[in-house]
Amino acid sequence: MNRQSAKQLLRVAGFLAGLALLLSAASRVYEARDNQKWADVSSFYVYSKGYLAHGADELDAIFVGCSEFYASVSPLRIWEQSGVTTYNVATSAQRIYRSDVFIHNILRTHHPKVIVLDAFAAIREGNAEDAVFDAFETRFPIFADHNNWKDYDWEKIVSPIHYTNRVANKGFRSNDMVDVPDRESYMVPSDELAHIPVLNRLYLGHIARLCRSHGVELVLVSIPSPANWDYPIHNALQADADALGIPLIDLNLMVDELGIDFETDFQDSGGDHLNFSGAEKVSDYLAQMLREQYALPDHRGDPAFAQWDQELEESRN
Amino acid sequence: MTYSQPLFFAVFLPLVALGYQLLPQRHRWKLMLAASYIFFYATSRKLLLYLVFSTVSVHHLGLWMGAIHTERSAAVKAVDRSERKAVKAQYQKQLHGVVVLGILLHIGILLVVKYSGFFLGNLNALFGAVHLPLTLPEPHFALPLGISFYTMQAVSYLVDVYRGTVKPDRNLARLALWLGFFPQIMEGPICRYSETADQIWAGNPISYHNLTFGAQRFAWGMLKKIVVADQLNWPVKEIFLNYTDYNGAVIFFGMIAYTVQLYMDFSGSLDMVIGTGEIFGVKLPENFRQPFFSKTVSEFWTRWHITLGTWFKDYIFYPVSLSGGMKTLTANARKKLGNHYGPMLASGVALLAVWLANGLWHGSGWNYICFGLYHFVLIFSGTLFEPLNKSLCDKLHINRQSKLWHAWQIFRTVVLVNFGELIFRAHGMQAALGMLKRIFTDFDPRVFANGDYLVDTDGKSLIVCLIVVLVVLAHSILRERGGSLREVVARQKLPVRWLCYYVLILFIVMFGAYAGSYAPIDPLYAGF
Amino acid sequence: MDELYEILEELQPEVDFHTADNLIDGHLLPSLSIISLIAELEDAFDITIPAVEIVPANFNSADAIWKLVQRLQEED
Repeated sequence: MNRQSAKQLLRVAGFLAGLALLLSAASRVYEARDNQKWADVSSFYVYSKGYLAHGADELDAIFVGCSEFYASVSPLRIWEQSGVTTYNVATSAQRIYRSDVFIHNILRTHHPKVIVLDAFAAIREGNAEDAVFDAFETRFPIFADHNNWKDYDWEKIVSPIHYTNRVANKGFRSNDMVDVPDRESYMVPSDELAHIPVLNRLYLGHIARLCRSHGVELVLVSIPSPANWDYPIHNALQADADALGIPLIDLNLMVDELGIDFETDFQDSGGDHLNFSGAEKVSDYLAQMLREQYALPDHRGDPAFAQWDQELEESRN
Repeated sequence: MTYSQPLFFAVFLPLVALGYQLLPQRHRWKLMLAASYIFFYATSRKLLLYLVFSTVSVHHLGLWMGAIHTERSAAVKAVDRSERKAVKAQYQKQLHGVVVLGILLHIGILLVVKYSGFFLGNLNALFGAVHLPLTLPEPHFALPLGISFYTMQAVSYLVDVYRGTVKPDRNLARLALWLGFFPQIMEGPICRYSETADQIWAGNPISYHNLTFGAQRFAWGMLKKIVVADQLNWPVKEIFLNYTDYNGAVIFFGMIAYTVQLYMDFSGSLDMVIGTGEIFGVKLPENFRQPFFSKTVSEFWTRWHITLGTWFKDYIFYPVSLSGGMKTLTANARKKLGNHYGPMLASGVALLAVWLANGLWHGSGWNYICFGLYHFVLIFSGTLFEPLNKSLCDKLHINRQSKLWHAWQIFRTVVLVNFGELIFRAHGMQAALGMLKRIFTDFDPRVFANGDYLVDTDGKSLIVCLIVVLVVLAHSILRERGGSLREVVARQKLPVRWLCYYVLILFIVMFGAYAGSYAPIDPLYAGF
Repeated sequence: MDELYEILEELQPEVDFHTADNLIDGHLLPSLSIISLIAELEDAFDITIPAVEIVPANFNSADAIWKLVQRLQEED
């Protein structure tokens, strides 16, 4: 390469480096100062950012997943049953590359002991365009936050970041509709392996490494869902999880142990999501699991966690 | 994968460019062909077979016609002067047969894939109207990427070989690369074989100038599409879908917003496309030339979607208007109607053919046909009434060269174009007429004062759009005068240059209509 | 050549055909006018102009048109 080409290459590299710096700086300016509902902030944004209003060491486990998680896992129920502090960072149809963004962000500011990842996010096929965009968003949050400008004023820009919305149900969103699923072909034993996209496997490995490097335990949980789960999928995910050393707790294999009642516990079309009744049973199991298998502390009675009792009380009204 | 997504411009394109530059020149076409087919496959999967079929068939048909041409030259030489015309005519018939076969094949595929549903749907409606108890199935085919665009290119190649203006390409790979070239497969520009095939094949190294200028052009296109077009998409979508909920003034706003959206989306996408081509040293033809400075609707179509217009001109308008039968018609008509009106019969027929084709090319629907007819009437009557206009203006002492008159002409053209685009975008002919009726009978300007016109958008976003529109307008004035913004910036010192580029990029990042509650929007013309 | 100028000037009086060299590229001769022009040229000079000859190279200036006319006269 001659001198001129070297100079040109340097210029291009310099330009891109400068651009990265500017984007990082801009990301700081645009970062939401609070997680209240405003401007472009949709509900999912509020719910999924609620953990930020909690102390860095306040949450011992954080759930990351899709609608199966937010319909079935109630942090306040878990608190009530075991005193373990958790939060549910779950968004609709979440793909694993999105989970990666969430976990990345969570570990940047908080110190959970356990991250519980939704098996459905791990198996769902996404698309490359969204994955690439999300990867950029992880490095440069401005790509997600830039719409904040519509609601910005000088006061907001100079004020420090202070998240105040702890979100009443800590990310849990379910209802009491009842729909009875057809379970003829549900969890019929099989040796087949379903197809899980390569991209998912790569991201799963990446997430595992991320958690390990932060000293955080990662566990996959599959919520009972006749509409979406069967044995081949279980086999495939179990194989991937084993290869990566990630424990998989498949609640679809434990519906009797959980006491899931197909007549009353599912809310929609062929057993897609659990309702309040089903969520209670799942949450109870998870509470026990987090206490016994992960030795997470029971904070009940600790005055530092009195707010949780208040929040539990409020949720009952 | 579309051009405005990070997957394309931050992953695919840099990887291809890097590989291209590192490869020796003679191997670069392989990378480009592979990249083009990967790009196609990413969107259309197995429908890639349509493109492959078109490529192989035009290759074969081209060579066939080439062989006939060669035979003809030999046969003509072997025979004396008096018999030459007859021999020529004989071979002409053969050539004609092959090119017609090729055209029917390709247009046929396009017709079936795009229009069979529409055609059979109308037949069924007709049967229903005459109470015939017959319902034909209305198939819906998945459209391969860019079929409307590469079919036009394929047909242009066949006709050019037929005419002898292009020598048939023995190299199947070169043809495949020309037809499937990834920057232009989605939305054009519609290129001629003689214009771009060699350029794309050549594999010239990426120069610093081409890289930087191409990237700048690409970013400029992103500004138009991401900041303006994708923002205006929301009010336009809602107003056109549910026009019965809205006042005529809001619909008027929707109409203007659509024209702006369409221009920004399409010309912005083409900026990205041409910028991408430029990076690889390929000069793709322009598709836009400041269209809203046009003084007549006729002129507008030489400045908007230029390559489509020139295609229709060269492959429909002139062949039809100068065909044997039409020339006879013109000759007779000139005797009876004089030099101005005489030729208008033949050119009128040809023009009608062009505009029906133009309308239908965009989509299978009656509103598209009406869109074509609307412009046909405007253009034809423009020429028809020209002598009348001229004498009227002379009588009223109006100076048609004055700036004021030009301004009036531009204003008039913009208004006419807007109404045409409303018909184009409306959900069917009934909706189009309904919307037009509301604009003229139910117009309440108060919506602009009280903010009711802000449907699925907000004042701040529109101000941003307005800023970009003004910037683009200023740039258009510069272009109209022959200037180049990139050249102007390139002449500045490095800190100033970099400041400009950073401002452009950050503006797109900060004000683009993406992420959050914005769903991504495919380029509008990719659907045609 | 004078006859050619007459024809052109009648068709588009606003254009100066003595100096213009971008009749097609500069959009000074619109397509509809070209049809009329071709009809006139064929009539006046007893030639046949096929569609394939309608390229900027042949029609961008009065000189180019004249060359075309002369060439077609020879061919027949």
